[in-house]
Amino acid sequence: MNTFEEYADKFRITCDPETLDCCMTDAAFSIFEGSGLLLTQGGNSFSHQSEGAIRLILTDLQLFHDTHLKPLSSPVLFSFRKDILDTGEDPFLELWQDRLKSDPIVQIKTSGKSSFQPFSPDDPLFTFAFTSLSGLIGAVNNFIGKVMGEVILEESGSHPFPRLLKLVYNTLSADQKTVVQALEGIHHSGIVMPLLLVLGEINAAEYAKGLISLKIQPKEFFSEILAGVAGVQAYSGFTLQKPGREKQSSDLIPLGEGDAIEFKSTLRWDIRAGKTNQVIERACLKTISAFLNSQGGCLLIGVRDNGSIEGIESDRFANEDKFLLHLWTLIRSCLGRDFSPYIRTRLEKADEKTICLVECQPSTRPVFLRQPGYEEEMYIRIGPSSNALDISEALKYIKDHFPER
Amino acid sequence: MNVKVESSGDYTTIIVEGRLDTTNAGEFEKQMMAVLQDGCTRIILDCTGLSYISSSGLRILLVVQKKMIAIKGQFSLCCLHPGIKEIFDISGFSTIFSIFPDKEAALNG
Repeated sequence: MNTFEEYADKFRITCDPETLDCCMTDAAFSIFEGSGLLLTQGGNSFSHQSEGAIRLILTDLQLFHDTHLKPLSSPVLFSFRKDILDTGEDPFLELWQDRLKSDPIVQIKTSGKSSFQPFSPDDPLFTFAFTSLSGLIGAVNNFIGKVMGEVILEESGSHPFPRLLKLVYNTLSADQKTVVQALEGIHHSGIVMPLLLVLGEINAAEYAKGLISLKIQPKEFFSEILAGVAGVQAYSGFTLQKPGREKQSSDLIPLGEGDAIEFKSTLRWDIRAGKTNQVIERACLKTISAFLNSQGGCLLIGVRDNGSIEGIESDRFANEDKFLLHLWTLIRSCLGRDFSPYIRTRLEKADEKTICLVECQPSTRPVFLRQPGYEEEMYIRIGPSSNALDISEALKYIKDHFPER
Repeated sequence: MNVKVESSGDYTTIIVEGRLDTTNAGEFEKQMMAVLQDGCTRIILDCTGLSYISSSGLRILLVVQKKMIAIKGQFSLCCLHPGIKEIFDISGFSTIFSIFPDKEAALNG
C-alpha cells in the first residue's frame, strides 16, 4: 500500500494545459482534456462537488504541468484521495501505532516523557522554542477539552489520548484525511499537529513553529513549510465547503440551548392563547437575526425549551410547504431578501412529528429586524439569548464586527 | 508576582506566585541571587501559585541551576501547575531540573 509520501514521489501527470477545461457532469464538476475526462494515475476522473476545488486543481495543472508538481499541491492531494483513500484503504491507519509512538506530543500526553532534547539556553532558538511550545500545548489542551466534552470513552486502563485521536481522525472527511496524511508524509509532523491544523485548532504559523521548536524541521525550512500548508489549505478551503453530513436535530437537541442553538415550540401559534400571534413570529426572527449578526447557529422550530418535541404541526399550516413558505416570507420581508444565502431551512421527523431546522451562517453585513408594528432593531447573540442593541451599541458593534471592505 | 522566602534548617523554600515574565524577571532574579549569596545549598522552589512562566523566567531558573551545580548544591522545583509541567515536559526542560509533585517529595528527593 502506498503512503502519501510514496504516492507523491511517483506522481506524474501528462496533459496539454491548453486543452484543459472545467465542465459540469451530473451533480459534480470535472476536468476535461479535450473531449475526454482527465484521469488520475489510478484511472479516476478529477470530479468533485465543489466547483472551486476543481478550478483550483485545473489552474495548478495549467501553471505547473511542465515542472514537477509540488507534493502538497491540489492535483496530488486529490489524486491520492481518489486512488488510495476512496478505494477503502487507509495507509495511515496501518501505520497508526508507529506514528503514535513517534509523535512527540503523544509521548508527553501518554507517558509524561519525551525523547526530545531541548535547545540549550545558549542557542538562539531557546526562547523561540519555549514560547511556541507553550502556545502549542495550550492548543492541544483546548482540543482535548473540546473532544472530551463530546465523546464518552469506555473505561480502559490505557491513556485516553491516543483513543481520542483515533476517534477524531475517523470523523474526518476523505479530503481532510488526505491533508493530514500529506502533511505528515511531507513534513514528518506526526499525527497531532496535522490534525490540529486541519481542525483549525492551530494555524499555519503555529504548525510551522511547532515543527521547528521540536527539531522536526530546521528553521531554514520555515517559509517552505508555510508555503506547503498554504497549498493544502487552499485545497481544503474548497473541499470543506460541503461537509459530508448535515447537522441533525438528534445531534443538536441533547446539547440544549446555547450560543449557537435555540429551540422554539412554534413559528406563529400561541399555544397558551390558542391563536396566531405576531410576538411568537418575532421571537423566531430575533433568533435568526442574532445568529446572522454573531457567529451563526441553528434555530429548531417545533422543539420546546426543555428539548421535548412539539412539532410544527402545532402551527396549523395546511402542509409543510405552506409552513416553509410562511417562514421564508417572514425572513425576506423582515430581515431582507439579500440575507437568504446565509440561511438554510430543512424539515426533519422526530417522534412522528416534524421539526424545522433553520441553519444560519455568520453574515458579512449587519442584519436589522424590520417588522411591521415594531421599531427597527438589531440583535446579537449573547450566550443562550438574543439581545437587542441600542443605537450606540449597534454602531460600535457594526464598526468592530463588519469592517468595510 | 509575589515571592516569599522561608528558611528552615538546612534548606530554603522560595514560594513564587502569579506570572513570572519579562516585566518582573529582574526582580525575581535579584531575590534568587540574594538567597544564593546567603550560602544556601538546598533550595526548593514552590510553584503552587505560579500561573505562568515565560522564557525569561526559565532563564533565571537555569542560571540558579547552574550555580547550584557549581557549588554541589541541590535545586528542586515542586508543585508545578499541570499546564506548566507539560510545557517543561514537551520542551525537554524537565530533564534539566529536578521536579517533584509536592514539597515532601522534594525534601526526600
